[in-house]
Amino acid sequence: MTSAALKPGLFRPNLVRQAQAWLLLLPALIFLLAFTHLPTVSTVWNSFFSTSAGTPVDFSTENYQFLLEDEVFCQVLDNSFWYAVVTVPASMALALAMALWVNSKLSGKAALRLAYFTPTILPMISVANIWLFFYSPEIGLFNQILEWFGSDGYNWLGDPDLSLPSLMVMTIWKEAGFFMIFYLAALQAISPELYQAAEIEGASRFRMLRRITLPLLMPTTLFVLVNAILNAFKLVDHLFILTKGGPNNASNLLLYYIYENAFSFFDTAYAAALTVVLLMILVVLALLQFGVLERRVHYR
Amino acid sequence: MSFLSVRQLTKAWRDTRTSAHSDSPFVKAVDDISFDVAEGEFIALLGPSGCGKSTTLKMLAGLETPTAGQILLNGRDITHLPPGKRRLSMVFQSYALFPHLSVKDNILFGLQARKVARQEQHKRLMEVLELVDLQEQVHKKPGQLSGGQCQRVALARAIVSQAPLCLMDEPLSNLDARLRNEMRCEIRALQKKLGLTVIYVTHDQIEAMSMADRIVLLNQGRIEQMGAPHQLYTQPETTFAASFIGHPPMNLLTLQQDVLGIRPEQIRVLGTTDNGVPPEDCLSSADQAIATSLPVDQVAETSLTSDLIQHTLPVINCDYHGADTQICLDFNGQVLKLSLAGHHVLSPGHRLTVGWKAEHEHRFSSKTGQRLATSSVPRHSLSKETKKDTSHVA
Repeated sequence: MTSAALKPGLFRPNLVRQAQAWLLLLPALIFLLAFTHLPTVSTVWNSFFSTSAGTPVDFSTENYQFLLEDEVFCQVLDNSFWYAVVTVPASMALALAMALWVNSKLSGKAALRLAYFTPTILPMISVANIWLFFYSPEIGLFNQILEWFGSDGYNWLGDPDLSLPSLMVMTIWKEAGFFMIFYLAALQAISPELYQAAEIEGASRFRMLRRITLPLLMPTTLFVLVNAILNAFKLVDHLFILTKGGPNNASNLLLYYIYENAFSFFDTAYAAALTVVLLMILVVLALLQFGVLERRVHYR
Repeated sequence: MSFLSVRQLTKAWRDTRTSAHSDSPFVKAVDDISFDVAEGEFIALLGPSGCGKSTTLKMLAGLETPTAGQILLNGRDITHLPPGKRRLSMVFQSYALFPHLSVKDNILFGLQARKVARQEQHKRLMEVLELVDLQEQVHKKPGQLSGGQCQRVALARAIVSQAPLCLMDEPLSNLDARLRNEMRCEIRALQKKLGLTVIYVTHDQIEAMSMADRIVLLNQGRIEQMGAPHQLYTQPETTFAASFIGHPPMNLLTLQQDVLGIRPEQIRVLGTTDNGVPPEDCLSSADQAIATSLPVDQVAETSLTSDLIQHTLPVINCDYHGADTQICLDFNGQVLKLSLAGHHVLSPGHRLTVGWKAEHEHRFSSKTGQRLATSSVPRHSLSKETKKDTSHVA
C-alpha cells in the first residue's frame, strides 16, 4: 500500500486506485514502449535524415524523394503485392479445404491432421532448406520427376519468371497447415445440431457450406486473413536460403529489401524510410480489414 | 392404415468397452420398438435418460440409421430416406437456430432450400409469425432473443415447412419452470389448431401426461407401456411404469407373494395415535397442535371405513412441499409415502392410522414386475381378500 492509502481524503481513494492501475500496467507498458513505440518513432525520425558513412546527418525528405525514383523499390513493392495477393487467398482456401476434409468422418484423420500441420512446426529456415532440394536444377526432386516425362526441367529459382512463383508455392505449403488448425478448431465449435436441422429442412451439402459453415467461420477467416497478410510481409527467412532476392531482384520482397539497405548497404536512413512505407501499408490494410470486414462478421 | 408406423425398430452399437461378462458385442439402445400413430395425434416418448427415446426420434428423423426395422409414413417406407425427403420437421432441445441469421432467415431457411416461390415464402412467414407471436422480432438475431422467444422461433421454423409430422426433442427442457408451463399450453394449442402429428420426446412425466394423447413409455430401449395418460396412471402394467408415472411415485411394497402398489395421493389419514411416544420428548406443543389438527379424512366418520384397508404405522419423517406435506411411514421396514394437503409437522415415531380403498391397490409379480390380474376382480370381493392378505402381513 502506498502512503496515500493511509490518509483518508475526498479524492485520495480514487488517486490510489488509479496509481494501482498504472502500476499494474507498468511492466507491459515499459516493454511496449521500449520495443514497439520508441523504435517506431525513431524509425520515422531517422527516415528524415540523409546518410553518409552509416550515420545520419541533415534533416531532409530526400529519402522519400528517392523512393519514387528507385526502380528496385518499385519492383520490390510489385513483388510484395503479388506475393501477398497470391499466397494469402491460396493458403486460406487450401487451409479451409483441408480443415473441411479433416473434420469429416474419416479413418486415420489424426495422422492426416498431423501431416498437414507438420510444415508449420518446422522453422522457415529448415523449410527453405528442404525446398532447396526440391528446386535445385540438377538434383532437385521436381526436375527429376520431370525427367521421367522426358522434360529437361527448369531452373526454378534462377529463372526470373519462375523464382517468385516458386517462393509462393513453398509459402502456401507452409502457411496452409497453420491456418488449417484455426479453421479446424472453428469447425469443431459449430454445433452438429445446426447441420442436422439444416438436413431436415432439405438443405444440400453446398447450401449448408454456403449458408451455415462459411458465415460461422467468418470470425476465424478475419483472424486468419490478418495473420496471413502480416505473414506475407513478415516472412522473408526463406529468401536468405533460396534466392537472396535474385535473380535481378525478381524475387525480392519489401522486408528483405529493407534488410539489404540497412545491413548490406548500411543506408539506415533509407531503410527507415522503407520501413515507414511498410508500416503505412500494414496500417491501411489493418484498418480496411477491421473497418470493412468487421461489420460483416457475426461473432457468437 | 395408420399415419406413421414404426415396426421392430432396433438400434445397436458395438460395445467399445470389451466387457467379459457380456455375450453380445452390441449394446442395444433401441430394442425392437413398434408403435402406430394416427394422423393428428400427439404422442409422447417418455422415459428416463438413456432409455433410447432420443435415438428413436433421431431414427424417425433420419439422423440415425436403424440397425433393423422399418418406418412407414403414410404407407411409404422412409426407413432409408435422407432427412430432407421425409416430409417432417423437428424442434431440437438446443433449438439449433442459426446464430448468424435473423429470425426471418431462420424461419425461411427450409423454404429457401426447397426453392419455394418468394410470395409463398412471405405469406407463410407472416402466418407463422402471427401464430407464435414474433412479429416484433423478425429482424433480430437469436442471440438477442430470450429463451422463450428462441423456442418460438424453433417452433415457427418447424411449422412453416407445413410438414405433416413434427418431431420434438425435449423442446422445453432449457426453459425455466414458469415458461415451461406456458409453452406447454401453447404447443398443445398449436398442435390442435394445425392438426399436426407430433412425436414429443421428454423425460418429464408432467409434460407427457398433460400434453400427450398417448404416451409411449420406454425403459432400457424397450416399450414398457403404451396408452393414454390416465391408463398409464390408473393401470400401470409394470412396476417401472408404476414408479415412473405420478409424483411422488407409487409406493411399491414387497410382500410375500407379490408387490403391492399404492399411490401416495390415494392413502387417507384416518387418525393419529401417539402411543409409544413420550409426548414431551418427541412432540413439542406446537407439533402437537398441528398433529391434532390433522385433516382426518371424513370417510373415517362414516361406516365406509370398513371398506378401507387400514394400517397404523410410525412416521419416519415429514417433507413440506408447499401445497402438501409428504410423510414417510415405516411399513415393516419399507417406506410408505403419502401426501397430505397443507403444512404438517410430525415427529418421527408418531403413529398414524392410514387406509386406502382396495380398488386403489395395484399388484405386480415380484419376479417379473408385470401387473397381476387381481385388481380387475370386482371391488368388494377383492377388498376382503386383500385386506386379509395385508393384515396378515402387517
